[in-house]
Amino acid sequence: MGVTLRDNTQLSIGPDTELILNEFLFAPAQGQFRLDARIFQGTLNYVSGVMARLKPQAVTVTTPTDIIGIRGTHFVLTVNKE
Amino acid sequence: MYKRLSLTPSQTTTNLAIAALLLAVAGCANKGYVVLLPDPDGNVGQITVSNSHGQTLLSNRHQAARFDSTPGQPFMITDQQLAQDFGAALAAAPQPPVSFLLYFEAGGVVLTQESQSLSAQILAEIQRRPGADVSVVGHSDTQGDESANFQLALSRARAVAQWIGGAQLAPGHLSIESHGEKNLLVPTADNVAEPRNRRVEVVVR
Repeated sequence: MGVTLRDNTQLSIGPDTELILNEFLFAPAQGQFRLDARIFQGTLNYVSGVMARLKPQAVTVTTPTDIIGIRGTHFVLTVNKE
Repeated sequence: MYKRLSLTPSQTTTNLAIAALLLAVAGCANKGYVVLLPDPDGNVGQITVSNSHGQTLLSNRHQAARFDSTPGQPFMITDQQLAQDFGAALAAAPQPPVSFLLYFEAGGVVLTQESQSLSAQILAEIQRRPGADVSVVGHSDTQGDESANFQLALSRARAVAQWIGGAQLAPGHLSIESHGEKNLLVPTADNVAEPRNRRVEVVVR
């Protein structure tokens, strides 16, 4: 399945994936930005949206061991079950 | 787990070999990995991958980093591996959103002639997508007062939303916002008149 967020960030996942969109705040007029997605297992395809352009440090994707910081881009990741 | 290995002199060599093997397995204890791909427009951006060992920067197409690994050891992934590990997630990607930019006659909420002709295209795009979600976002240039710009951009967004309202979107699927002078298309200093920044962006997703 896949979703497009209001800032045009696109997330799609493969089978057996556990992902939480922990926080999404996109209010450019107020200067408020936050996107925090957490993946525990499975695969994620991520295409960044407007937020990663306006305030890249507000966007994080975390795995159980690592934090991915985004500077406007497209990536895929896979997290293996413990 | 290595602390549990008790070494006696006669077993030292064997146990060290086992310890080395365990270390090797732990070293590639596969927590997964991340791969940088080109953006839909072909550009390649950058990502940083940080963990308790440090940070790795990826900046090349198909460059990858293992999770929970020591930094500075990115590797390249093949198309075949990419398809094998990520085919399903990539195939599930939603249709990319489509943006339309509408411009206005100075000082009001009347669309330019050219922008008026885009309305049919926008409505067609909405009809084409099941469960379409539409954002109408007003933007201003930086000339004048910030709060006045916010209001003007909002009025323009509302005017556009009014005729999109006829597209029979599901409740909650049409949002109207103003970004005022905070999301410039063409970066300028404050108090600069720039027609290309005076716009309403309609995003259909």
